[in-house]
Amino acid sequence: MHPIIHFFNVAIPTFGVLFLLGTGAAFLLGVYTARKYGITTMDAMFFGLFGIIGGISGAKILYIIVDLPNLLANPETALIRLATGGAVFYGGLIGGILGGYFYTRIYHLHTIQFFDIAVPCLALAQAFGRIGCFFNGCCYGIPYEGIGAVYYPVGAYPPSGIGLFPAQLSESVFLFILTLVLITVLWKSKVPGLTTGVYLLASGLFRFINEFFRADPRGAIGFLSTSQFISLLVIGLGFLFVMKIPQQLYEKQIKQ
Amino acid sequence: MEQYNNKAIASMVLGIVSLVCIFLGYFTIIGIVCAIIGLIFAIQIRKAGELEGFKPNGMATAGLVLNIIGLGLCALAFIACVACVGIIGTAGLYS
Repeated sequence: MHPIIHFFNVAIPTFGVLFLLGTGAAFLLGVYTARKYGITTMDAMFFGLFGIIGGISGAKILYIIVDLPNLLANPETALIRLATGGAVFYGGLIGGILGGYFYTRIYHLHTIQFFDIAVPCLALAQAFGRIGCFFNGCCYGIPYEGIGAVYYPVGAYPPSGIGLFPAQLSESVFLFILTLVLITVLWKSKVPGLTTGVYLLASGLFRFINEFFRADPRGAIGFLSTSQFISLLVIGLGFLFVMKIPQQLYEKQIKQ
Repeated sequence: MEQYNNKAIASMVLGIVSLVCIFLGYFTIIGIVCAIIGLIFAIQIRKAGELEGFKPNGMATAGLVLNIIGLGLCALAFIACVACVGIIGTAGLYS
């Protein structure tokens, strides 16, 4: 729809702008959520920065691993392809978690408390990112002619001329609501890890359902899409957090 | 302290390099790498200052700020829709 914003003579990708807006909003929210456990603003910020560093590195590394046969087959274009496209979201997610975990391990901080304060911020950043997807035209929905149907113009990445389900916007609205729910859970809960569990459960479940309403080309594992398969793992992990199993393992590890 | 001074200088220089890399088109990835390394140095100095009780110098602060701005702006130019598995890179759209 509007994948590029023209600012004077500079073309700026809209997704990038919304990604930055989301990151900024997430950092601001992080300053607020960090108060729950008395975490300093500096620690909250550095945890977030380590998460971003891990996320960017992870997304790129997983892309290189996945695309290695193609990169080796066409070495003349490998450098350009490495420098331009190519980032795998789940690599980013795993890298981001590892980055944050790494920070708390180096400076002997309570990892689960940090994850608790980070998940509302992550949901908020994701919500902005999904609006970016909407403007970008990616992650589009199935053909649909009803309330809120989206019609992309000719030349856009999604099919034009037919109504599409606003899969990106529905996820964005859900994530904004989830952010508010997570903040409430964070302030009301007395158990570290519960907020993380609620986030994993809710976002995994919604993503699983929302995938049925998406029509963009993406990978598949059996009869499920890659995202649905990973969503099941995320939901399982969320259950474990709600049942306090990772928390108990973590406490044991600290005692040792 | 000497190692922290060296890291502060390195962090600031890497921050400046990352800012310059914004104008390299496709190769903003170099800026991202520089900003990541510079940011790690800057964070190390800040945390060491907090734990060992010294105030980081101006170059360390400048390094932190420049690297955050550099990483943000390079990411703005570089990041396509990473949230979409299997999507065609949007890089072609703004080439």
